[in-house]
Amino acid sequence: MIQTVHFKKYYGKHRGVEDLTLHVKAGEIYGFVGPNGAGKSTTIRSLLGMLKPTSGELLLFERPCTDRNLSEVKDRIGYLPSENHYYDRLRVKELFEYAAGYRKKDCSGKIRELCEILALDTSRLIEDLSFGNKKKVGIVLSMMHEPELLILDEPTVGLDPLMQNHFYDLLRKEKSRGATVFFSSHILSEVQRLCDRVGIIKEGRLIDEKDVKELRQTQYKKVFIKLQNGTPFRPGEAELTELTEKSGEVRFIYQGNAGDLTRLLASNEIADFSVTEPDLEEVFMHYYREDEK
Amino acid sequence: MRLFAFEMKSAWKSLLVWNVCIVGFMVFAMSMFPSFADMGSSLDDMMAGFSPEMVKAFRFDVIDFTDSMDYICYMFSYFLIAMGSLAILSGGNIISKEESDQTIDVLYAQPVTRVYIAASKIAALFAQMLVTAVLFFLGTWGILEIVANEYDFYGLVLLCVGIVLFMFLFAAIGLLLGHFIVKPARRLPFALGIVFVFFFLDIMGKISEDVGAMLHITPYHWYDGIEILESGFPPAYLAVTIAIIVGGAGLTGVLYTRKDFV
Repeated sequence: MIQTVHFKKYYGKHRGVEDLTLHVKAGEIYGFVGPNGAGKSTTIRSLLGMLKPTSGELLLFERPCTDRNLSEVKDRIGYLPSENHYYDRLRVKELFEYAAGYRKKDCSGKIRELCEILALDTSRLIEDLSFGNKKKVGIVLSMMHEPELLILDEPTVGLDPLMQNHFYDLLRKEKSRGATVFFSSHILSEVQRLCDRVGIIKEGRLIDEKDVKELRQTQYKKVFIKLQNGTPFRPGEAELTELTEKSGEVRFIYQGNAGDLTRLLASNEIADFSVTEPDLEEVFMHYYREDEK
Repeated sequence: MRLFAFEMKSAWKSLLVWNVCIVGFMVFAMSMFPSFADMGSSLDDMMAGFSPEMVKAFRFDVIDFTDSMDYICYMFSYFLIAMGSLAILSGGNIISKEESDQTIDVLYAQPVTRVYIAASKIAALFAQMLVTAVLFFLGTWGILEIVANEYDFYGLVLLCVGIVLFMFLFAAIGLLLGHFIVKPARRLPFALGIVFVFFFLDIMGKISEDVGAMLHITPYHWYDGIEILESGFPPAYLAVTIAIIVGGAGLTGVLYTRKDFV
């Protein structure tokens, strides 16, 4: 459905995306996460033809993302930009009518349905809307023509928790209808809730790609150890991330098999310990931390 | 057609305000014509008091203020400044507004090509300029019917055709400017600078024969009202005008298909 092959985008001397190869399959919800400036929006805007790639290939529906190809497949794509900028002097319903006029189908029923779900007043002027309401306008614009592919850039920023839940329900509905969803986010918990797969982009490269279910079930453990008075922590050879040690209390994310973890625990003098399932945020936080350094 | 209609609808209010001001100013200026016509030879005495440079710069030596068409030609150069400013600002605005307002994400998410967007906007721009020129013509014609005993209708049509060409020329320059300078605040001084530099080149060229060659590069000279009424549009200037209009609009279209919507 979406494919990028060694995609590179530079703005003059500044890196947007360095080398990105990814493949989003039909019918899945793919989360695209990464720190600010990693290249998420650049990738999305390039897929939609707004930016010209410096090199590499971008494909939507197995066709190169050229201006002409895109104009033929845009009826099958819904796009929600990260920024909410619309024609301020229009009323919401006028904007919907204007956008729907470009589509080859009657979108009025779907517009009504979405506005009801999102509690959006279509009689108001765009310029009078709050940030959250403008986001709702964007959601309606992206879904009103029931596209096969939804490309969403930071879709829940600005939505209150209740609306976020409505939005998650909408996405699940879209998926059950057969739509493919590709969305970027900073909020790992929502990626964990919704996505089938997640790709981590950092400094313009895809540095990790995981199946979310598999990731949650098997690979990572969140470990807490309370050491006996004055004894040092001995990590051994284990691969630990998010390691913190304070006042004899040690916390870390462990990646490896259970036997090695048992040996690690046995090699320390422990007063108490717990091993739990980490959430996605904790698993991936080290990618962000390294970025901060 | 949808985008063309949207652009026309979006622009109508500002266009209306602009046209009311322009036509209002023309009506005001022409309403003073009967007083000038009545002054007769006393006007010549007054002109004799001006310096020779000023007489040349403002063409007092060839303009007969008691003649309605000459009077219009005198006003014409100032209307060219106004129309040129409107055209260059509108040209820059229409092609870059979606990017500067960041609404391009909404527009380009629709099933449209870049060629469609550029062509619709350029067509809407020229249509808006045409509407302005037609309203100017109607306003001027109307006031001439009221204040002048006789006037050259064909001459008035020619002047208005000149205004259309002049506006198209500056609109084409504005389109290119809008491509290279997307932010309106940054573009404004360049746009008005171009309009006024050409105007001052025209004045300088008329004052001094040493720099008279400069007249060939300023559209104010190409569309001098008196010259238009006397001998129509000089073919060379007309050819350059058409080349700039077609070249500017065409190049804008080509560049639009290649640019990044950042």
